[in-house]
Amino acid sequence: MKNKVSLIILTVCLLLIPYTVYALSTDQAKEPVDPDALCTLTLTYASAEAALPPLTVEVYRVAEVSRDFRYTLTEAFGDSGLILNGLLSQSEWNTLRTTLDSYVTSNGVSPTATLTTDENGAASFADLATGLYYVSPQTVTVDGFRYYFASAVIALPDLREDGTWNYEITAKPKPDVRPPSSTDLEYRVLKLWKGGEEETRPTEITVDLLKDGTVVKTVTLSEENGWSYSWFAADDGSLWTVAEQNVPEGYTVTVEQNDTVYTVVNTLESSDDSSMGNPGDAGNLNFIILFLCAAGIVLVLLGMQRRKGVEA
Amino acid sequence: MKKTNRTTLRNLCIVAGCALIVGALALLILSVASRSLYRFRCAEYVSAIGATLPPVENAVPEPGRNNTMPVLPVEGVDFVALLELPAFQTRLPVCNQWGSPEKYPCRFTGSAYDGTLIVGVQEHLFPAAEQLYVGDLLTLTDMTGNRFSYRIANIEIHENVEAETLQDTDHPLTLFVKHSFSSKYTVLRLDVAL
Repeated sequence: MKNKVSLIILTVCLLLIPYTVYALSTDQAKEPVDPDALCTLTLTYASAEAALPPLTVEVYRVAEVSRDFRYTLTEAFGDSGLILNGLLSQSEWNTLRTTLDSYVTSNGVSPTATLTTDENGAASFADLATGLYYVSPQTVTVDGFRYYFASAVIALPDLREDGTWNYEITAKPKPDVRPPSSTDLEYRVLKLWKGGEEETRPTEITVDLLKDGTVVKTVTLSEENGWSYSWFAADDGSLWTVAEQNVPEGYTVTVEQNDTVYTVVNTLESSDDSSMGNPGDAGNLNFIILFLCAAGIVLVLLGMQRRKGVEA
Repeated sequence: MKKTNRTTLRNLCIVAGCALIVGALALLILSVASRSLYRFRCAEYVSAIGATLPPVENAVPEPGRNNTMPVLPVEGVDFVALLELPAFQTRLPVCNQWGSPEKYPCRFTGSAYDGTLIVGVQEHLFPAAEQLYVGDLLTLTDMTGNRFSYRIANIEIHENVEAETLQDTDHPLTLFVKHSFSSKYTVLRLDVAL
């Protein structure tokens, strides 16, 4: 049975997509995947503004793929709790990418392959096993301008529009180019929850703040600080990420990044968000007030009428 | 003797009537005070949430594997979104759990991500409901900064809001408002604003 999985090739760019991004359901495949086939992945890091120096490109095999296109985490990512199958939206794939940014950095995962780009900015990885790959981000400064290539999650093979599998993937990530800046940036980490209730959640969690792969600070998030923490750092091209320590039992963790804000989301996998029945009638206090008032006036009038009757 | 009984009965009626009126006034004052408090608390929640929200990005409903909306706990209450009526400068926090629509808008069921969201609120928190027209803009921002924009497509008045009344697969957002001085509900059906 083919799984209805949307294949989305993500670029390394946070801003624009440099090449055609398409999402095809595996139902459109004319043939099963050959899991034993070897793939080629060519990544070209270039910019029209300047010639970039050689970059060290690292790729990580996150998961194997089966003939019916089911992903299974590799040993290096076995403890990550990542959900790879059944992802439908681009935002979910983007969350996967940023979560991998955190996981790879904080766990010191070794790359599957490493290459240095050639004079054209290209790094061509040959003989890669099929599966889902994570490509690490790149940042380089040329003539004072900073060129940032975001990370990427790439499926090998991918599905062509004609329904055949493509085992030779090429990609040209587009850089985010920023001018020199002497100001500090404000970073923030925020904690959110999906599923569960307040009584079953921990009262606080601990998060590592990592700069270029090194833990620079460990902070505690709780309701006291609004489950968030902010810090300032120089805008010097450093790659920041966050990683939660000791993910609560029963929860999986994902990390989302929006500019300089990192959102750590713990999801209770068993949460049931089914309908809660009828909203019911909350009652109307105004009716009660009106009734009491009316009844009171009636009684007072009745009493006063009786008084007039007695006096007469 | 008979005259004494009548006098006693008369006095009892007057005293009972005054007691009921005083009780009604007390309830009225309590109601007004609690509603004012709820509005004030909503503003505090909005302020707390606003200070924590990531940068806002426009989004559209996009069904995913997990459509659960993440919550941000604030003073023991799980909030799932900020509801805004730009034309009326109204901002309200949306609680994730149904149960206290007199205190803040509550998510009754569904998710903004897959276009099945139903939110309920009482009129004293949402007085602008009486002044809304088809086409008015409303936004919903989740706790990760995704802002969903909607336009009112239909305004309905219902005697009840049973699940069957509320369920609507044609509109990604339904907002129902309980009238303060009647048993009726205003039900707003909203489409994604393009």
